[in-house]
Amino acid sequence: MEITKNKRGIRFYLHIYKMLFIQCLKTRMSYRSDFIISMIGMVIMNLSGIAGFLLIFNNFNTICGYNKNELLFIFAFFLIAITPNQCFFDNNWNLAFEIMDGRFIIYNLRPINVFFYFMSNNFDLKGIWRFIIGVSLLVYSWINLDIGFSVIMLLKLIVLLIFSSLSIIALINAAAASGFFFIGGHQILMFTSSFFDYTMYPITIFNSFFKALFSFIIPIGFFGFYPCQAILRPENNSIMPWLTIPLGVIYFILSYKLWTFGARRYGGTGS
Amino acid sequence: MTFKDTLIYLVLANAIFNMTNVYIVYNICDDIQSGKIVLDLLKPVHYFLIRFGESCGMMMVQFIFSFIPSFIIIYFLSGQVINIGINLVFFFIGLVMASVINFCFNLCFACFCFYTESCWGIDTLKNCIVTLLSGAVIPIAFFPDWLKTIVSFLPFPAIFNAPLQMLLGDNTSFSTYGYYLLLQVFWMIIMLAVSLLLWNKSVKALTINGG
Repeated sequence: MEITKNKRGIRFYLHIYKMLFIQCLKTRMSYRSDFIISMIGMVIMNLSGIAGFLLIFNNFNTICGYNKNELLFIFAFFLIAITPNQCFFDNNWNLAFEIMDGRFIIYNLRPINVFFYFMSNNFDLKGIWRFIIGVSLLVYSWINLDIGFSVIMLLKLIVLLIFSSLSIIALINAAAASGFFFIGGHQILMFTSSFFDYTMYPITIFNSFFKALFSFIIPIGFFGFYPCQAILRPENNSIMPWLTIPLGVIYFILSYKLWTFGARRYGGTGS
Repeated sequence: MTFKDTLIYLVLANAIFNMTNVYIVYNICDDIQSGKIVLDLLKPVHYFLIRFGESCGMMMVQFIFSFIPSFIIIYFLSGQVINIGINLVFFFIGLVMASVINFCFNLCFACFCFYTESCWGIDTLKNCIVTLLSGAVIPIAFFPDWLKTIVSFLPFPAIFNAPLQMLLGDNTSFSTYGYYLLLQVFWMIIMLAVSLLLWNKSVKALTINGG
């Protein structure tokens, strides 16, 4: 028996997303103090990252040729780039638990794209703080760096931000998709996200093995350091910032394929 | 401290942090939000003992599968500069006491969850404070002086610094061991008292949906 699939366009998916988004917001708002404390917790988490960063710079002036403002610029770039992952794809963190409970089978039984439905079930409002703090830090370090301002630089930055956020989403997707194949999926996701602590440091501090590892396999170099080369060191004219664009697309497609492969293969827990 | 000493210290402090990070606060807050805490409060054992037993089990697993491999790897990578002797015994005693202090510290934070019903926020707050001030991410030697004095009034040196100094320290006389062990006992008594007081006050403020 053939089930004919109607071609569903963007409008249909946007409509579904809007409904799920409003539902999610209403659920969050019903726990008022939880909402407020989560927002405060997010701000404090970001501020403590910056505080740790400043504590290091209390003792050193440059790290591998990059001074404090340049590294703050890279950190701010990373904070803005991670916002789409934090806000739209936050349900990845619940994936391991839903797989173990067997609740994930519901997503397979609905006539809609599994990946889209799963990700739109959760919108993380507190990710907005990462964006706000990232933008303010970016403006602050841009002013302090004295590299001038032009629309071309801003356009380059926006393009690089879009594609590096695709890489971040891809990494988290792939780590979460390991939950389909292994039981400890949540631990793998936590381990992968702990690499985010290293995005603010220049990749040049590592030796060649780790440089290759962090550039292409767990590509934290492309989350902050390499894209910012286009702005911070434009005289080098290196290819690395522009590699962000094809690599972001490739990683995203690969991780999407891995995720949907795991989802289709999921057999449920029989309840 | 030399570079190698700092490296060993940081790796081991991080390993202790990962060992003691067993989501005590998150589990308690989750139980409060879902209402399952009532089942545990009705048991004839004090709630602290239930949770402590649970977290001890998890900490033991983390110790065997995470701390010991890290210790072995850093021991060989650093060229076997850590002396193996009676300091290991004292280090183990220090770890046991550090886990008790850490547990009580976590419970103090979990008491806030009774009032705010917030799960992730309180846990993140605690994690931020601990990772920043404990010296597990950035060694305390790098802190400015005013921050060093603040940290000395918090229980973190007793959790992270004391066992590590007993393991890695240069003067291995019994007076040094005695000093750190006494420091840990002192903080253990204080944290137990504070957490019990906070707990007795907070449990009365509990509201659970019936059903």
